[in-house]
Amino acid sequence: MRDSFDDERRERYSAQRSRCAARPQLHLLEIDLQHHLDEVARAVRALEDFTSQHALPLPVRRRLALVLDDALGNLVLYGDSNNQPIALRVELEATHVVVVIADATAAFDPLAVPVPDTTSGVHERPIGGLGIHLMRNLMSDVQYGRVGDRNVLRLTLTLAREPP
Amino acid sequence: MNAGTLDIQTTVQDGVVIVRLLGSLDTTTSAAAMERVHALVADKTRMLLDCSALTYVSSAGLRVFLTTTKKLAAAGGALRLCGLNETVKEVFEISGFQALFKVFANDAEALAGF
Repeated sequence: MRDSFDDERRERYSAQRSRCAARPQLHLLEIDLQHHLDEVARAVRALEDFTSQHALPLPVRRRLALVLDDALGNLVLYGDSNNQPIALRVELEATHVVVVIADATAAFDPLAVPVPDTTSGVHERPIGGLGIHLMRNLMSDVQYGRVGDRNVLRLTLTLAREPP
Repeated sequence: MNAGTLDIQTTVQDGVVIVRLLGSLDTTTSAAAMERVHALVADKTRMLLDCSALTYVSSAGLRVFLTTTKKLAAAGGALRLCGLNETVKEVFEISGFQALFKVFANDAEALAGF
């Protein structure tokens, strides 16, 4: 299984190199993360550095940061990793940003989670359950797939302008 | 920005506990922030959460706001918020939180008549 995963990653990286060569405007950030709470902040800081270096507007940077925080927070707090790292990849192109998170926790489709109650008053309002709702509403597109033994979450945010 | 870091400054003005949040309310910072803010709640506490230096709030951070207002309501107190940036406002709107809180543009407006 490990060999298969490594082969899959090698193919993926090879494909990315080809795409980079063909499309020089593509910028990539890739990090492997361990299942620790500290790793969430490390990943979000790396994303912030990446989006800042490429001069994305502040509201876009904030939106991406909080969505990544929610996605990784759910994984680290609630998922059993089987000691396999979480693979984070961020692709920045002229018109959009794509965040891909692949993990080896149990199959979990966030798109199957019911929409939470967002209308009740303070006393009736349940605590929690808003992370996936935020993700779906703050990103332009959210896709989930189970690839082998891994969950792959693909979050796309369309940019209002071309980054430099 | 400053993922995973949050400073909390507390002052009291005209009997209102003013809590200034500097940084991000996220997966990393929310548990400690909740503990710190909840510890400020006493009988009939009036609290202002000044968010003018808050960069963003994830769902973990929303728990801090909701649990604090529940705790204050149970203690006969009151909560106001001010200084939300556009991203935080958007998160509040998506979550339906704008209907749960009294939100003001700045601390002067929030403190008026509180």
